[in-house]
Amino acid sequence: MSPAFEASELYDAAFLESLTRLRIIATRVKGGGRPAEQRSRDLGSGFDFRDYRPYTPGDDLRAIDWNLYRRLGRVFVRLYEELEDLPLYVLPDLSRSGFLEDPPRARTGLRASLALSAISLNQHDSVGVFPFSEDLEVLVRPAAGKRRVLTLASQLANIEAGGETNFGASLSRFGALGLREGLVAIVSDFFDPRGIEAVTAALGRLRHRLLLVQLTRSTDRDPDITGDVRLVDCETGGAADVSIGAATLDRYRAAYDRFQDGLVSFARKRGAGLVRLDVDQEVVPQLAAVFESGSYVA
Amino acid sequence: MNPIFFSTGVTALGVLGLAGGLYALQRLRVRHREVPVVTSLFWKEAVEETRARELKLRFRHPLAYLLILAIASALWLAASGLQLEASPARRVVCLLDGSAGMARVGRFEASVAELRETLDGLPASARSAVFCGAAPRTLLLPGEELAWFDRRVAELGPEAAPASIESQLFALEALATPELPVTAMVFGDAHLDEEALSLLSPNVELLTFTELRDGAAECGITALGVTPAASGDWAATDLLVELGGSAFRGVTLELDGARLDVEPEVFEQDGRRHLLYRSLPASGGLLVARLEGTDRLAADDEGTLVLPERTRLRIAAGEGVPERLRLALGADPGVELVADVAEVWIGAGGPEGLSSLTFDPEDAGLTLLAPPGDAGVAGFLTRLDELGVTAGVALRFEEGPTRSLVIGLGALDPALGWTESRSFPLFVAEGVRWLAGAADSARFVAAGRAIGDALPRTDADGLRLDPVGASFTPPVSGLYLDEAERTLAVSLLDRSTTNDVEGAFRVDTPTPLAGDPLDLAAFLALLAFVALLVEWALVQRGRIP
Repeated sequence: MSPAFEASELYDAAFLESLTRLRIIATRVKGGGRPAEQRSRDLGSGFDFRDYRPYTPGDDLRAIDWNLYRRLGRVFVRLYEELEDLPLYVLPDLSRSGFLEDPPRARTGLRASLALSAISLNQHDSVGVFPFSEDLEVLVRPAAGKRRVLTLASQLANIEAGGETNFGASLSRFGALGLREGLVAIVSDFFDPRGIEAVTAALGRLRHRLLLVQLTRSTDRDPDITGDVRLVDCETGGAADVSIGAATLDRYRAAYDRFQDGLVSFARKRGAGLVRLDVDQEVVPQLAAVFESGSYVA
Repeated sequence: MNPIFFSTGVTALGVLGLAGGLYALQRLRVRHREVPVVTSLFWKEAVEETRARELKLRFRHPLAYLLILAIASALWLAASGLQLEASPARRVVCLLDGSAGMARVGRFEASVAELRETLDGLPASARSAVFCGAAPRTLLLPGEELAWFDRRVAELGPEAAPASIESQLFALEALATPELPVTAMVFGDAHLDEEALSLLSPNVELLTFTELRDGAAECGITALGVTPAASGDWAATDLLVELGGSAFRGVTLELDGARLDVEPEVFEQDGRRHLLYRSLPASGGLLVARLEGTDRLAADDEGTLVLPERTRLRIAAGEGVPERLRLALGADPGVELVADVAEVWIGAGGPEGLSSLTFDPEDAGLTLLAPPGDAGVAGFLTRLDELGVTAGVALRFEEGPTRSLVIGLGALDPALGWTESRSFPLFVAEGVRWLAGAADSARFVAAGRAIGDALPRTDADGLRLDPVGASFTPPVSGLYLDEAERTLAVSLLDRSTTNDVEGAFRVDTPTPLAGDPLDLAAFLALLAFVALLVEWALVQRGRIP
């Protein structure tokens, strides 16, 4: 097996430079990891004041707010937000559907994965990469270090194309790894032959925060296909003879919309982020726009 | 509903064939363009509804099939000329005169044009047209398109026959009822006898569309006949030629192609000129009487006739022939008494099988014997009756093996006076000729008139006419042959055609008919067009593949 892409196809100096402008903010991450630049759900002895609570024996006396004691006559301690690291687990989809068109959406997916990884590494977070298709493999175990971006890029460039998409098997395998809870960024088109229900079911079983990066293309919803054709699924190899007219396309779009609605609904219900990247556009500007505006789809 | 161009069965089979063919096409496997897609996830639902045509799979496109079947069926039914059964208030039958008179320059063509224009303005379901020539021929049936009229009339033209319009009018009476009367429109010059028309049923309305004649001078031969020569010459015959019209012309005669220079006796009566040519040779030759010069109608400028062939009758006489009879035979120039081979035997002791005239001493009357079915008996008896030559003598008829005539000797008693009368030689002459089976050629043979005998004949092309032996009516002028290869010359000889009375015709205005019934063919074609538009719209909107 040969690498799916040349390294130059995935990244260059300009692309790496553009990554430094990205910032991603994670919220309410459980403590336990090493201090980093991400807010955690734990309140402790950080620098940013968050709340008060009544004093209990054992509390740090330095945290008592004496001014409040003078006004109210009761002892309260100040609570500060602890800053901890946010493990980022990037799961790029390497199924065959990512390599069919031009430009292949897998290329965009890997560039997005690299971008997200670079952001996290730049914030002292640990990053692990777990590409998947019909199954999941461990490409990069979680580790931190700003200097690891180039190494990571090199490893992503050596990645190989997979087979059929199988979210159920892949995410089960990921869950079985027993990784510390972190942010799971799944970069995929989410086109699992088993349907959106299978995808959301698999996602729902993850204990991590989720960031869903959906790789889309305009022809996903408006395919440029008409007439009597034999549609061949590039992953399953299944073929269907169909006469495509306007009504067929209407039904197709309805099905696609239901798929999208299902994904959005899941993201909202789960509190996951959902970012849609147009594979025909540059990755970094799209990510920058999303992070700067905070306008996740979900 | 009634298809015009095809039978109902063929039309129905056509629709079924279209349904089957289109059904097969709908199920036919199509050549697909293979298109790889990133996922078939979203296509599954759409594919379930719009799977391409494929044999042995579920029928996928009933709406498309029904629509295309409706379009094809509508076009097919339109092509079959389907029409709704109309209930016209009356039926219109247009009669085109195809008689000889229509041969005048431009008359037939003008009438055809007039007829076509009239037909074009009539409802197709209520109109029909008949060509009235020597025999009626259909030009247009109810419901047919005018193209059929054009095709049929192009093969027709005036025929050398008298008009048959009147006979067609009376034939139409069978179609006419008070509920559905018939309007007969006559196009042509045929003379219609007012007296005959008055006998028409009131259910038949007559309209004529004939221009008034211009009264141009014309002449034609209206009668042609022969009689035994008044000179008494047995081998000669007298010829009478009758001319009609308004400008008599001279007549020349040809006998077997050679001109005869005979001066006729000329006299005129009732506006007709008669030419009597005496003592022409009764040799059985073909005589042609031809008018000198020309006029607008050539069909009546010539008459033909086969002159009688008068050979002498060979008679053998046995013993015991009464003297009065022998004298009568001797006075007959057409009879030759011979001793050997004869056609008739007179007296006792004749050879068996030969027609004979015998005598019965025990009787005083006349006895005719003839084989069963001898058609000549009636004519002979009628002839005797017309001549009155057996007055006072009893006449009997019996069946016998051959023609025989038995004269009771009592009838020949001079005391009765029969043998002394002028009728006795005439009776003997007629009797021996009947026994010999001799008959003159027809004296007057005109197209469209029955001859009176029942001999099968063939026309000049060898086509057998009246094969059942009915009374023969030559349809058109010309030469005919009977079974004995004898020639029968038939001439037009129609006074109404020749005389052509000026101003005897009228031009009527037809009563407007009810509107044409729904033209279902056009409606179906329009329906097919609309269905095509619907299909186009549905295809554009993706409702059908």
